[in-house]
Amino acid sequence: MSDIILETENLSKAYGHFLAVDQVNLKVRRGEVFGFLGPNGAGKTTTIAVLLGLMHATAGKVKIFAQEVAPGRTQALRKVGSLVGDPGLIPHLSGRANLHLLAKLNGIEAERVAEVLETVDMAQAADRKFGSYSMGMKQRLGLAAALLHRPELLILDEPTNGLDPAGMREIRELLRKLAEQDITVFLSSHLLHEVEQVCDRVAVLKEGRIVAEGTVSELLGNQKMVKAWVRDPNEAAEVLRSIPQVTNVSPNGVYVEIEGVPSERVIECLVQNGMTPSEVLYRKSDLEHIFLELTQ
Amino acid sequence: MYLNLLAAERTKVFKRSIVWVILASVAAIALIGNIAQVLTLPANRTSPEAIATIQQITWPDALAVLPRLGSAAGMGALLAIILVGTVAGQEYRWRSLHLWLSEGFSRRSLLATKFAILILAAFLIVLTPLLVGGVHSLFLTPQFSGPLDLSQIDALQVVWNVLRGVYSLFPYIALTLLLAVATRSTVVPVAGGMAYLLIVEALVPQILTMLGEPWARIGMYLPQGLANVLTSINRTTASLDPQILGQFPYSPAVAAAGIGAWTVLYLGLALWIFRRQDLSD
Repeated sequence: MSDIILETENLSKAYGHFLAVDQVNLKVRRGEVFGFLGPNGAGKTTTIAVLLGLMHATAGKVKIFAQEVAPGRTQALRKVGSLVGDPGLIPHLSGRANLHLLAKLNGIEAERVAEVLETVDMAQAADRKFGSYSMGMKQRLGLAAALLHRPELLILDEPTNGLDPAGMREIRELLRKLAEQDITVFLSSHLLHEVEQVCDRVAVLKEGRIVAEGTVSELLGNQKMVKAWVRDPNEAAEVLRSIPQVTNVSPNGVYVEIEGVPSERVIECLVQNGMTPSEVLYRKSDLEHIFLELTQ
Repeated sequence: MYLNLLAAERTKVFKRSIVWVILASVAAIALIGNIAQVLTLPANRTSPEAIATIQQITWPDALAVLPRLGSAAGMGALLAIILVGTVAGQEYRWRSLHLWLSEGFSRRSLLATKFAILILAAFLIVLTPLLVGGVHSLFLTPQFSGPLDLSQIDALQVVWNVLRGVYSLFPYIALTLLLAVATRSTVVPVAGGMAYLLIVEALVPQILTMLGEPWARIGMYLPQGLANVLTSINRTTASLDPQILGQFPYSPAVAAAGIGAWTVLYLGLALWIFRRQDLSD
């Protein structure tokens, strides 16, 4: 059996002259949690809609479980669970009735409904009408709906939208647990902290194109960042730019961020120029920093 | 898999209150119609008008007349348009259509299932006046026509009348589904379907008649004209008026074929659009 669960080959989607998705090549492996990052309008949701056979690709191919997927060829999606935007459940039915309806649709035993309601911690509110739920509750029920037919691949677009911090952590834990059960997760999110914690590999989308792809540690690389608190960050930035190995300097209100050199070099340079820092912090660059660098 | 889809679609549609509101409306119309006819019955019950009215509100003829109320020749088309437009249009807004498609169900089977379940709803629209009006007429029969003679009831004819009534609604269901798919809205299919029924179908035949032959004949082949022929001619009406066949420009078989053609045209267009549609937020 192939290790690649989801694959796109030069996938493009245009709206008239506007290219929303431009030759995207993705490979998602079995059992991994794959992060799909990008700023608003980068083409993430359009890509997901094409993956789910909801939109026609202008060019390129989507393969899920080695079968081609398109609006007229959706057989492979029987093994996929998804949550994209509004969960697509019926507002006048209760959460439980919605899941029973989907169980009927997929020929699944009714007992599974109680199981998934427990999984997403919605058993208590299951008999309320879906239309009366808060956004976070809707997301949880949408996740339950996505899990109902025991999918091998989960495609999730911003699944923690509307959740409180505790809810977000529960979902993150759930996603890791699912990956341990050999369920592959394709997770689109703009919450970089979330992606950094939960994803094995990440692709970054900018203006419809993949601008970086790899494991989280590959993307972070060996980039280190030094933060130095000085009296005049702008003047300090000018001085620090003269260090040959420096890759990036950005003054930021009360401190200056420097990349590419160790902290001793920064301190040395500032002291030599009479700008002794009051505090210096040295740390590895985070995904947010990399993301901003890639997408701005 | 298709049976699962059918069962889920049936649950989804019949859990909508609009279905039951429409069925309650058609039941009320049938009952009020019957009562109104009783109240306006001429004092002289031997007059031709009184005899005709009594025949219509008593068994066995009432059983032949009542299914027409829910057919396209009666209130059925209007009610079917409201039902289909509401049910199909809202699925785009709720994104339930998106969810079901992303679970691997094909667009063709989803649309076919929806059409099939809406036919089931149309069947109830035709059946409800027969049941409600039929029970009321059963109580009126001994009062106006003497003891009930069950041997006079042509059960097969009653079934045929219901089926013809349901079939006459097919083009309206398909047209409203087409408008819902094309516009992804609730308002446009309901308003568009009603405009088609109340303006186009009412005016076009009259305008064509004014243009003379052969234009006048074309107007008769619109769904409303076809439904009139299909639901007007049956064994009961033929026994009441042997000349009835001559009053229509074509036979019920031609009307049935015409209704089928309109349905295939509208449904085919709906499927063509649906299969090409990009579904996103």
